[in-house]
Amino acid sequence: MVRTDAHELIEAANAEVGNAEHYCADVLAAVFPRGRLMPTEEIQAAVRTKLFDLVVSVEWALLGEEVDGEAGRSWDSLTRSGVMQNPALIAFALARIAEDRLIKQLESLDPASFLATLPARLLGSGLENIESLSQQLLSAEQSRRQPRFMLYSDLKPDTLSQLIEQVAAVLLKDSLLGAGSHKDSVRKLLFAHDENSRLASLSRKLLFAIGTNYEHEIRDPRLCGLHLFVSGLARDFGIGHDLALRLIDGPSLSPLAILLSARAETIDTALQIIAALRGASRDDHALPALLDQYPKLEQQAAIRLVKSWNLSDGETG
Amino acid sequence: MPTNPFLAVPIRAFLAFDGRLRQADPEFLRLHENAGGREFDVLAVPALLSLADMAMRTGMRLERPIHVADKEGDVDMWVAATPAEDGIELSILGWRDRMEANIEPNCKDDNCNDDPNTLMLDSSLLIVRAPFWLNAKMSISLIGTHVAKLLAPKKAWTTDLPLIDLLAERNPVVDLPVLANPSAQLCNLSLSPEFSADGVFLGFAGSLIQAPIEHIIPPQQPSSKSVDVFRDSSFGAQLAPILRQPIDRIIANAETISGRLVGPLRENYANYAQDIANAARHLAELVSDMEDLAAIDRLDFAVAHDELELGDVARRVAGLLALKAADHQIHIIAPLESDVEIWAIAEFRRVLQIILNLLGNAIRYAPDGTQVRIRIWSDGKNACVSICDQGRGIDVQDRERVFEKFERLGRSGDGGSGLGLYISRKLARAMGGELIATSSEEGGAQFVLSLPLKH
Repeated sequence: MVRTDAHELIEAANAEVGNAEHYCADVLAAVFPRGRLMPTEEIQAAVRTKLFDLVVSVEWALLGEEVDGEAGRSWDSLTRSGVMQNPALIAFALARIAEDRLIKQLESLDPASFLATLPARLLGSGLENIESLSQQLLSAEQSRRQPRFMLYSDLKPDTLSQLIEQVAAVLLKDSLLGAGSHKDSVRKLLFAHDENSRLASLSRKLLFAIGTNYEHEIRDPRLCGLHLFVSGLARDFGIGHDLALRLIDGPSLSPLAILLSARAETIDTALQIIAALRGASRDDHALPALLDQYPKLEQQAAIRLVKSWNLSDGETG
Repeated sequence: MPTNPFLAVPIRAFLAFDGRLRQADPEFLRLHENAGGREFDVLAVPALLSLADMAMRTGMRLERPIHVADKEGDVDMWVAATPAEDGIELSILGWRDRMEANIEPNCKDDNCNDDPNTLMLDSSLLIVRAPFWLNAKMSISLIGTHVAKLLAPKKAWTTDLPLIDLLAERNPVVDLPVLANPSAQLCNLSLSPEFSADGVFLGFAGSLIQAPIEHIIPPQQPSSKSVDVFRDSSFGAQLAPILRQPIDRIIANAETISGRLVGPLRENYANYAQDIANAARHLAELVSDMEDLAAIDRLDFAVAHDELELGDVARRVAGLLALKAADHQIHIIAPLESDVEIWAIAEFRRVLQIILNLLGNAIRYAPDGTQVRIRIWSDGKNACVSICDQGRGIDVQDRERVFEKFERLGRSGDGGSGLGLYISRKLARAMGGELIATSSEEGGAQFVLSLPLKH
């Protein structure tokens, strides 16, 4: 049988479909090893997009302007080699997806409300450190809206250094990075990275600086903004920032309700916070059960449960 | 206005790549020495060492909040780790005494005031808010408890109506003398009914104020100068939550270390951390036993009278311990759903607790690879459940002794406290039943729990 271009094409397409399916299956196994809820196709697509953006941001950082037109050049090699199935990367992507959605939801309440949030108010606190940290946090939040936002800078150090090495290795193989400059580029990028540029670190640092002086605001995302609210949860319960984001925005309302119960919020306050973070109608079907069960939740039991989430997740950053 | 925890001049130290302290400011050195380190030793503060290790491995400057247990108390610090050519520089940028997470029981009511005596009931007379002083005495939250379980009438009533009837009338109560559990403390109860704008009854709000000390009812126990701490119910009730928190922290931290969540660790150190976690879990079980002991030794200890199906309870317990049994290749044979149902009158969670204890013991002491059988039956008067194993059994002379407090029959180091069977028998008797030890047909141990049969 004579092989034609069409045969080649079908074979390549089949291989691609097979790869895509295997990839999704791997994502499922890596991200939801104990999960009962299968991720939707929408989530899988969003994870893939976010991971692609992440790779492109590393390429930009390594190659600078040279990457234009070649963006995402290392993506195929990285996915084929299984690098992108690293659970830490997928968890990172899921957290960023949750973060995007939560920020969008909070801003939909009042687009100008960030001017009245705690970090904005602290700009006039009169304390140099606190003003500076507030400024940095607000700038970091704004910089995420830039088209060339360095998404990788929010990765945790271990994962970041691995990813940079791997992207650099692919670029070296494809001759986009010179053999001599490859190690230097990686070293420079790692050396230039400052954990202070991570939103999670910045908000946690601001929280450390203000101590317990604004507890009322910290408990309400409408008053303190998403990141200080999440950092407050991370501090109070010892859970990771990214895990907290995923819990708040998860498919089920229950984790957020349990977090709020662990903080002994009243049912009225809890409902307001839930509506602010997840939208008024997203959990309509779950609200009757919440109204019935929430008052019966024991705070100490909720605290124990939240702390066990941290142990099972393994994320502490 | 917040105080600034960041230091004008950071406290610095310099570590070699092997983690040894090469140079340190006096305050840093003090931290290191308080943690058991000596000058030029490997840094003895694990959280700081771990941060330095990560900065070294990644080649990045890291900044983290670090929690350190110092000699004078716990400290929250903000620390930067900066890699250098020949080591890692650690800088403590900020420092403040430990801020306890703001997750202690708080008022669940937006409108609540700080009055420590406030008592609020919902329309079903369930407690919505309990006085702070009473919460502090209890090992469990009172929220959701029926007021009748909290308050008992004092004999010298100024009214003939029992408390619940009085409240059902929805009239105000002013300075009514009542006895508040757990220690039968004499108190004055004042409650006013609350109604919504459209007249719907919402519940009661008011106060429960402790009477002056001379009016406190003396304990109804025979007086004894020797204090048995395990008999002093308030001791157990107060101590358990205080102990549980640090133990939970030990377990969480040890699990974090053994799981290598903050970076690589030598295998034997990870194993030590797992040993710590296991030991702390054992300690947590002891605290739970102590709490139960305090509860069942109280004069006012009461059980609920639920209707329960013993086969259902047995299957649940078998499910809960299936993994533990699988670890020892022990096969649990539980009643099937298709078997005859045996209904008893007892408190569901207490029966669950007893059977969990009995089955847990069977798994712990029976030889690996054997069977443990749970059977249920009725003798016409009692609903019975037995757990029998294929172990070496219990000698006839020990079959009563095994129910004594702290009795281990010479065993040690197996994670038991010697309280489980004592508590189980007490619970069985409190429910109008009995728990006995016999031997199974195969010679192993058999425990039989009998409970009042539901007719």
